Amino acid sequence: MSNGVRLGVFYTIIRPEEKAILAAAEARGIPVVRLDDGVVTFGLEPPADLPDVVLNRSVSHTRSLYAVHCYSAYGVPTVNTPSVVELAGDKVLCSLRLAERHIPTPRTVVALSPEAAMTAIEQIGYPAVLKPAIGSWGRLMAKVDNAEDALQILEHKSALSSPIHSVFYVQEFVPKPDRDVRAFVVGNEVVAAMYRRSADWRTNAARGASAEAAPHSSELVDLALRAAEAVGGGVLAVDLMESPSGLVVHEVNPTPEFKTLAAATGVDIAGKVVDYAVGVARR
Amino acid sequence: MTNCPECDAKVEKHGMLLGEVFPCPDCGTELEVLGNTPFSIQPAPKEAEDWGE
Repeated sequence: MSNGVRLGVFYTIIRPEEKAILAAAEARGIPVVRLDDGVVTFGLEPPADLPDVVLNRSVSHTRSLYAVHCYSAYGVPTVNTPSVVELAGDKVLCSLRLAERHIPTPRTVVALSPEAAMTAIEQIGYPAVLKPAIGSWGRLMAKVDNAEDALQILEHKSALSSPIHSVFYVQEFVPKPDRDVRAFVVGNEVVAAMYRRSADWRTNAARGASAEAAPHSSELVDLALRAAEAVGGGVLAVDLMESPSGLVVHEVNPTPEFKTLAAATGVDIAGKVVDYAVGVARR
Repeated sequence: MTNCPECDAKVEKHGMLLGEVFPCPDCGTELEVLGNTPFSIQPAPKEAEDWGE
């Protein structure tokens, strides 16, 4: 039941996830206000006719960040909150928070110039992984096996004009099975988990990794909930790797996709996300 | 019925939402639904560097 709540859905495009969210809201009788991130504008004063909560589904980190700040300033709760989007959407900030909370995470060194990045890679040792601080789906990630690779990759990155590429996030390469684990957290619950298996070292579903339901072991649940709580909680996908010394959290995603996870587990994730959003709506 | 802006193939879809993306059945280009009456489409937005989860 909607309880009179109007749900705003802030989006870039309608993917299967957003379609499922809209369908879940309709099934619950919840009116939806569609907020296209390429169309809406934000003044300094709250506009009339605001929804009671905004579920952020924009794929753009930049648009997400400004939008949730604006809605928050208008007094409209957002899922996720601005600080969660800010922290979890930036790998540097997220890693710092995970380390601060003593959550196992791969060794990471950040550098702000190509020269310092070379030093960072040497500090991590080979093989190392170079990731953009912002972005997902395994895009623009590189495995660096030796100094020659490092120089070439850094030269290529230096030629890219976007400021995103002037931040070098260097992480140890974690020897793991041909899979990683994704735990989907809604509030204080892991609602679904899956293994993502791939012959490629990147196990993103977007890169074609296959999925199967993963057991909710106490270690997985504990670590996923701690990681989600560390960034502020909400609706989050926690990605973990099975390192030789146990599970390590390598990412916390604040606008998670779940098509593959829902299919692998049979869990109505869209329904759980909508129920959570309605639960945090302003009254 | 409309045509793919990339390959000109005929494209017809029913029951789609505004903003929904789907691949052209012929060339695979990602397309976005602009309207349903009449059915109209455009190339879907291109993935930007800050896109992700």
